[in-house]
Amino acid sequence: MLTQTDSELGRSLMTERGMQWLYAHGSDPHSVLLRAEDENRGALLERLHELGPLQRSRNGAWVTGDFLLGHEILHDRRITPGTPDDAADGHELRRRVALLGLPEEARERPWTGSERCPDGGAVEHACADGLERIGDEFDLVTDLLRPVMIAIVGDLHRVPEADRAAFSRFCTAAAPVLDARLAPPRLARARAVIDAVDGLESLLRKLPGADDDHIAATTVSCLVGVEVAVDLVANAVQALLDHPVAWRTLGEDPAFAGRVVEETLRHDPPIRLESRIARTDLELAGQPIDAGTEVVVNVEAANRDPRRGADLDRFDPFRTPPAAHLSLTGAPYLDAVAPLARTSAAAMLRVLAIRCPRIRRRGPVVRRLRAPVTHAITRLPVTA
Amino acid sequence: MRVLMTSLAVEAHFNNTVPLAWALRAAGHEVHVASHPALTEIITRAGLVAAPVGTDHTHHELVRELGAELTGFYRDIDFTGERGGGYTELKGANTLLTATFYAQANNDSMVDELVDYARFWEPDLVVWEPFTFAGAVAARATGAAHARLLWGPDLFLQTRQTFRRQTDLLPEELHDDALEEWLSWTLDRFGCAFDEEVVTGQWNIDQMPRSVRLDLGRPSVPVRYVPYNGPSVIPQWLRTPADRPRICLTLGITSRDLPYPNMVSVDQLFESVAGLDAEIVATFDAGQLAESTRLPDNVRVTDFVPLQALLPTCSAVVHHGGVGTWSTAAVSGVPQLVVAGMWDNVYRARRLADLGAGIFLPPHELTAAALRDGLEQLLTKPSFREESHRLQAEILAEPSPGAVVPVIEEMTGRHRRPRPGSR
Repeated sequence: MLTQTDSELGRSLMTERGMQWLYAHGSDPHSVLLRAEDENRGALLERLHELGPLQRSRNGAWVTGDFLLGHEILHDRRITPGTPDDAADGHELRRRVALLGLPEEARERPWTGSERCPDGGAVEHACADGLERIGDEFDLVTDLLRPVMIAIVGDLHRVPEADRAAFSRFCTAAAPVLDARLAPPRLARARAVIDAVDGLESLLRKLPGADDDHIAATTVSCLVGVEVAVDLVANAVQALLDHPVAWRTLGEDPAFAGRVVEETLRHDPPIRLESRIARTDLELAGQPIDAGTEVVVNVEAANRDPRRGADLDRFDPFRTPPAAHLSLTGAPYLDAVAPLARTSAAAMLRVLAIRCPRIRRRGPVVRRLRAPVTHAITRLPVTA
Repeated sequence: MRVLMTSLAVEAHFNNTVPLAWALRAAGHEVHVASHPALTEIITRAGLVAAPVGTDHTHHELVRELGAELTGFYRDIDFTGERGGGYTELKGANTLLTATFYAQANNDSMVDELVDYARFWEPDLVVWEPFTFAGAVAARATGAAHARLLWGPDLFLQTRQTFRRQTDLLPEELHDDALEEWLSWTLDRFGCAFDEEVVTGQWNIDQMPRSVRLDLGRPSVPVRYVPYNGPSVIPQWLRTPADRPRICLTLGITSRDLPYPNMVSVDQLFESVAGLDAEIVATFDAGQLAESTRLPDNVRVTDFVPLQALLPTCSAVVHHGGVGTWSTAAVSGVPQLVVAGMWDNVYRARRLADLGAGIFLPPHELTAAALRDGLEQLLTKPSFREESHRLQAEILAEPSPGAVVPVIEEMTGRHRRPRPGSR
């Protein structure tokens, strides 16, 4: 239950956001990326690499943009998602979105295989249906990707028809949840996220066979799965709009969609920052890390680690062999959504490339406010 | 009528509201001054009636805690709007100032008790210091008229207007105005909604001379700046004319108690005047004096002397650019050497230099030699004195606080929401 008044919650969000602006005034690249305002991302990621494998950010977090160290951290079971131990003074939103600290058991349990991932053909069908309904001029994100994904995930978890409108509303309003973990939203948006997460949980609780683990995992599937799939496709289309050859290839060769998905995951990851907490005292890159400290993998930077190869700053789905990346790995909550996101994204991209061979931008791209984690495209107006 | 005046608990800000409070009182109006408890004694020593509200604000502790990181950010804020830093810079300043200053200095308990007091006392008019938004909230909650009493050029509103104009060009979901957000949930506690008038006041009462004032298209009542420097006694040494040119060195009162960095060190000031054939009066307290390593023999140090008595006897003044010092020097017709690097101080210093009534020395050009060179120019070039006199005459030509009382009465009548039960 939420007990903070608007003035209390608002003040704590405002103060935390103020500190993000303050810290970003210094030269620490992670602080500037957390502020997420009009930054020169390329230069900041480069700076992160220059500074070495592991640095302490102004907010106390240890940050890496190094591929190998990032891989080590993401797969170290002593370093897990969640909130810092000293988060007692944090605002309620922070505690609410801690749900992403899904327990280890959720990796395998509690879903049967069919709940984990939709059938690609079903997604293609839904996407084609969606396209039929919206005509030639539409917003890729709000008119197509998000409604389609919400319907797919609603089917996956067998949300009853009567609850679908509410389900859709909750999934849409909760979209900033990944970003809210690292950047305090504005008060109204924080309230909307909290209400949507609560609403979604109580809706899922009514489903047959719902125990706590099942509800937790399904909530993650609805919140993170939808968001990651939508962002992934939007990022891919945004990149492909400037790569007509790749778009044409995608239309001619359905198998190429897998390449596009992996290159997008690498170059424009839907989750750019993976924040973890060290649960014991440990050592990383020769540096002692205290238990309770935040450790952040800048996945975007790690995926472009210059020590792994030249040219990794460039989006190129024709790369042979494809370049390795750290996106969507190393946490139960990611394992729970990765197959869903990959399958859905590839299917939607296939349909788009076939149905809209001459797709082009119709207006400016809008990205979500205060979105250091997703840098999400929230509007992408196109002409098919 | 009943006039509730309010200022956050910073003495230099409050002092600028005192002469108008006296004028309203002398015209027969009831005047109460509401502020944090920390200001109570300072209010009563000015002969005014204090209404302490809430608990003391913690802005100063925050500045102390965050130190140079925070003051460094403040210092880089472009209050002049001339650097053209772009939207991100405007948004950053708005976000950080709201979080660390406006909402700290107008803490919830202070706002709530101010509203309570206004509901109890039912003022016709609330006059608020420009960063004491609690005054506008109290007026909104009670239907009182409200005016913003400007003590400096309205750089705050100029910046804000630019920020709002640029925000309006963005899609709705990208609007991110921390000041509006904070005031919205604050007003919501009293069942009121935000609009920009809570930030601008219904009108301004503007104490800046015409050539320094900014016209931002808001209704404005110009009023002469009348110095109030705090409780004042004329010392013996100030009762005889100086036999050499007299120069005042001061860093104001605010930096004595607050952890804001000085742009210039006491030693630099002393070094710049050492050996000068002049009588130097330095208004430093023990803490400031402790920073110095050498006291030149031509310097008289005094903890406090009312600038309105000292400056008319001076040939020049060297200071940090604070508004009280700047305005008292301007109304005294004294050429000023201003070492300004923060807040609105920079704009005022630059305007002064543009007008030829003084010299602006930005911190990066600051050396003892540059200070001394500037001082010598002020003392030897007659144009500085002439232009200072011109500025003084401009200020004295404005209507006095007493003379604008009828205008304020009329404005109040026009803006006040009729009370239930009255005709």
